[in-house]
Amino acid sequence: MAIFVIAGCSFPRDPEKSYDRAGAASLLVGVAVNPPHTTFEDGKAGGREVELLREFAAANDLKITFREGSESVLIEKLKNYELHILAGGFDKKTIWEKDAGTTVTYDKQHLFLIPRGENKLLQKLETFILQNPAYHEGNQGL
Amino acid sequence: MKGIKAFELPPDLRQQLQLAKKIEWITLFYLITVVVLMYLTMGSSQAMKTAWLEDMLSLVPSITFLIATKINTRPPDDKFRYGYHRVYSIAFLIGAAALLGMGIFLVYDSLMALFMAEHPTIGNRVFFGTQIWMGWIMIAALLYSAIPAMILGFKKLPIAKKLHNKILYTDAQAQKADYMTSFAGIAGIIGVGAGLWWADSAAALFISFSVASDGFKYISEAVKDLMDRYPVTLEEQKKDPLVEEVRQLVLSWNWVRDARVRFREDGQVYLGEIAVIPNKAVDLDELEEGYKVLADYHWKINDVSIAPVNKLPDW
Repeated sequence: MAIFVIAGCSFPRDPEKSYDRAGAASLLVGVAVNPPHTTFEDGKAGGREVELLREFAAANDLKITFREGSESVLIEKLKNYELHILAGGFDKKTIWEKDAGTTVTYDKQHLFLIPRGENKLLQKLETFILQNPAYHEGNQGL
Repeated sequence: MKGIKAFELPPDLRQQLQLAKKIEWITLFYLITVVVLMYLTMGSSQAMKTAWLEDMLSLVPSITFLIATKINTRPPDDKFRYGYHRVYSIAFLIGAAALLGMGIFLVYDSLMALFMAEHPTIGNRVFFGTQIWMGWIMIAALLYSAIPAMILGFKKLPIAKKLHNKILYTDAQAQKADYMTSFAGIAGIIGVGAGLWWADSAAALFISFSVASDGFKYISEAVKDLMDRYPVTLEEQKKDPLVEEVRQLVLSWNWVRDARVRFREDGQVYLGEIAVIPNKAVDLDELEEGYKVLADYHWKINDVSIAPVNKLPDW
């Protein structure tokens, strides 16, 4: 049992070290503009998903950088582990399901994309989403 | 010629068969819960998917056994003059073919996952207010698919040997060995947790190889039985000494100078012929007595014809 508890702390890890690299440099977030979830005006990212990710980064002492682009370009970068998170108002039925990992929904409908198999990053992000019922339960109208 | 008798097991074995049926019903319901649970937890893990399909397939022997035992006991009729014993051999072949087909597909599928470097994504869920990594849930599901299966396998094995029933034996063997697949799956999930994305596909590959090789082994067994080979014992796969015993028995009759016997497996029982060279004119009463002795000799000797000849045939 003790082994399970100890293993539980460092489990799971990222095969491509996304979370650790985000910690060493900066959390790289791809933003596909899709108001009201995501916006990008005058070189500044905004929208409810961007706000959520800013809080996530702050809670985990991560610097955060946003990169704007089209979904298909950003997905390629995500697949090559050049981005850590992709935001753009994606939902459970996203067409990128085979190309990316999906997080739990933050409002029972919308979610973020992460590089496939980066399970530590996924756990950190999902822990943040699940522990913030304000995002998780509220905002049905979004 | 003696008419084939409706198949009847001796009373103690009939009891064993009832027990086997009961255990197979339990197996069936248990496996359905396993299949549902595994489906709900498998996520994008290749090893889980492979283990799930394997559990799905392991339903086949239980179902075929339960159907075959219903058909097997029918007496011979106008259409099937030799009775329905062989339904077991056919059921066994079907099960083996399913296993081999699925095994080959799974080997291909896991190899592709390995070559495409697919990284399994395993997320988190909240159960009763606690956030749990789905990997742990998968491991729990794999344990649930292994431990009761092993116990059921150990319970079925001795019954299968007593009944000389191949489907039951195969089923028991497969379940007894199920812990290997489950532990491979668990190793795969733990590997993924440790950041080794390939552990999952590698575990799946190991599981699918074991499925395919089982399928291949059983198909060759089933085909040999259908090709009427010399009856063999279930476990050691050695020539059944019963055949030679029957020859010695016939040779001990005082009107027999020489004899040759051949039998083939028809499901659980043996059918065959005995050629005898009599040392005097054949007395029909003695022949009739011989049939009676053989019928009572062993329950496996289900149907036999005694043919008086001048010269023993080549078989």
